[in-house]
Amino acid sequence: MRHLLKQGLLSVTVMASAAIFTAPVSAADYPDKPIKLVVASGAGGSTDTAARIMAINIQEHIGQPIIVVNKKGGSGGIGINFALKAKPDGYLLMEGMIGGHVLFPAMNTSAGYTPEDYTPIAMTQMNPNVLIVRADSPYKNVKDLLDAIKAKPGKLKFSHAGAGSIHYFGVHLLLKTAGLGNDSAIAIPYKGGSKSMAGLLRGEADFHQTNLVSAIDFIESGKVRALAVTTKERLKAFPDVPTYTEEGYPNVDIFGWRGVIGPKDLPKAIVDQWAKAVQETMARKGWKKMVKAVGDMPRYMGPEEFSKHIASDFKRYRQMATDLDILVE
Amino acid sequence: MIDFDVLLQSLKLILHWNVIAACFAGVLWGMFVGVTPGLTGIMAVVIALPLTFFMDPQSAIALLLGIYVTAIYGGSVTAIMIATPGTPNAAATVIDGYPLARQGKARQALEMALYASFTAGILSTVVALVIFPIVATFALEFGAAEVFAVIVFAITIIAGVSGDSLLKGLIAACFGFLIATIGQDPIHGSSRFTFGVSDFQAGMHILTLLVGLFTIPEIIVRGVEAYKSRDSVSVGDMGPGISFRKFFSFWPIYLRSCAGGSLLGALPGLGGSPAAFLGYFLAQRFSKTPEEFGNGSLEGVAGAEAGNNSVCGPALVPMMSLGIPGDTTTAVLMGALVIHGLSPGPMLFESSPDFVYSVFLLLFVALIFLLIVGTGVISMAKWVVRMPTQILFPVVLILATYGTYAVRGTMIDVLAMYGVGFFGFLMRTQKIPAAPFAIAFILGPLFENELRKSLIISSGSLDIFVSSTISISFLALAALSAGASVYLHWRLKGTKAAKIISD
Repeated sequence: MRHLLKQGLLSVTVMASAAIFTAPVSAADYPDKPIKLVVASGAGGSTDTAARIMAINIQEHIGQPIIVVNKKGGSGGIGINFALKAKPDGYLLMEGMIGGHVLFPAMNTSAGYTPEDYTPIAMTQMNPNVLIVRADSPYKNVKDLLDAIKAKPGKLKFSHAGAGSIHYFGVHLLLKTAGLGNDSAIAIPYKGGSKSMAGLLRGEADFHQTNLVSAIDFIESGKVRALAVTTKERLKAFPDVPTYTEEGYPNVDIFGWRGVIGPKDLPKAIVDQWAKAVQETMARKGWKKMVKAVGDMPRYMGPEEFSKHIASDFKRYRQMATDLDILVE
Repeated sequence: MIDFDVLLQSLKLILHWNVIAACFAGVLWGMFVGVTPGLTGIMAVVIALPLTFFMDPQSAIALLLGIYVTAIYGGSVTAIMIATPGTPNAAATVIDGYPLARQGKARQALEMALYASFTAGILSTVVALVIFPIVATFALEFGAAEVFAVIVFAITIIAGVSGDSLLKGLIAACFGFLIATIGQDPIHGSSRFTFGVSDFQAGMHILTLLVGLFTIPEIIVRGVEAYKSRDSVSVGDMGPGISFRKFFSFWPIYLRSCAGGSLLGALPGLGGSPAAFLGYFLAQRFSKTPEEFGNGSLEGVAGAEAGNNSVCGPALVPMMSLGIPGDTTTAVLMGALVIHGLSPGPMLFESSPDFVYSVFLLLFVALIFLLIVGTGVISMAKWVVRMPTQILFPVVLILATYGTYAVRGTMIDVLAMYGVGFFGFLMRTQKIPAAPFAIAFILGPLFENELRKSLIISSGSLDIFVSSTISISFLALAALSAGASVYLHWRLKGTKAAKIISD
């Protein structure tokens, strides 16, 4: 009861201040009820955790409780299609993720949406990728590996978290940049990132490119060797691991991101209100600590920058899907 | 094996009132969710997850483990009382639990389920605790080909739940395999049999199928029965409880289910439902009275419930030692650990062994609370048996509808559930058993995925399936099990035919 009262008081104050300080009449009383945040992947996954961390931290800044709704399946397509059907009134938003929001529609023309069908609000975090092999692997660097693939095309295998995952695109980006065909290495699909990592450890695959966070523990314990990271500069945590730029492939700069995305035609006032709240939330110590704990790097992009980033990502991966002949229609 | 100094230290970690209270709260919440159709264990854990962000790591994991353990058991209460598996784990419990309740032996079935869950839970946690240091390498021994062999073996369970006719069981299994192909192709990601309905992209949910298959036909049959007799029928009686001697006499069942459940639990991606069916199958295969299975066998309930609860402890092992969660619930647990800076993986045991042990100790605590809360729930179940049919079944129908909707929040699931329900009723009129349908549905996608993955790895060569001792052993076991099933059915048929002739 006291909690409800507090919540009520909070929303009244927020509503009042919103009424005083924001100009557009339409959004003046926004938000006056709880807001749903759709996660287009399974409960407990990294995107879900990221969304819940955001939801619990941003409530104070947005003035209403945030309810996380999981709609998983279809590489994120089900949840995103569901969320895009909602009225653009700001009461139903999405946790944005590179997989569902960009990679899936990039390789699937019948996904039902492209970035033009949604409104990017703010990027909150990013996660670089890392190319790894088992510790006992003969490949000591990117060149070794690519030479081996060139020497016997169609022999080496890599594990990935499903067609259309960042693991899948990442390796293809590397192969393409190195001038190799898309069947020069065999793609072995696993259900999710952790199982594709297990596939590498078990020896079912020869190499694997994944989110840094999934690999950290295995690199530190010496079970796998990191060959390259997708960041522009070397990571503080792994000063010995070169970047792709150093290895001569600056184009392989793929990295995952998360953020907040709304449906199409979301009023600018609401976009700005959310972007501001996201920025405030990201300044909180608790938020930073939790995000770092799950292995992501806090990274803010406002609505415009985020939209540009998504548009260029989409263009790039659609082109890649077409070139690689993996476009599903 | 076990470092007792560390064990003592970890005991200190959990002996705080807030840790114990969190565990108890988890058990209460898990029980509520378990007995509510449509609320699955995974949802229960997810709803509680944000709460744990602000707890200390021990309390957080205590709360989540309490939910995890209890939700697996809780599903069996509704499975026994109203033929509705509260969670997918309880699918195998319906087969014998519900007939027992119909015969007025509800208390026995419920107590059997509770005590079997508790016993197997304790046993498998001990197993997990002992094998933790060595299992990291063990789980990695199971590649795509090995997991495939295990699944082939598990599929032979179908024969065990086919009832009188193996042929009809196989027909039912074919339905299951077919329905399981709806959705996204596991390898290429293209859509299959979705008929343009985007919600079908994720396939049919297991609870939609189970409720349709078990609950709806039961309601139709009972409804017709009550209408014909124009009488308000209720079972009316819970019957006596189970004696300690009887409970104890089933010890080989607990051991076998525990062995099977622990194995499946430690393999990533399989989860509790296959373990329940495996436990059920083992109980039947070694039973002196296999013909009672399906018509209300206590051994069947014991085998199934011991099987699914054996998964918890071992499922934590690959999660904590490799960072590879065994099922979605352990994935959420992993998320909770990560938030608290305890990143599961090869380093966890070295950096904080006391924490790893404390997790297993908390499992024991959770199981003890489960026993207490479960006993309370059983005493409340009498209200269900006293309820007359014309009130009970409409209530069940509402629960089934709501529960199916609640899982994913789409009406299409409700329609699909009623579709399956009607189909299940037709199957029943033809005496085609429902259980093989359910098993095939659960195992079908795993079978396909591992088979295709293995063949990609081997570049199309079948040698991969006979290249390791593990896969050869399981394939041999599968052949043995299938052969024995065919032989037993043939012999059983012989005796029945002989009986009819002599009559």
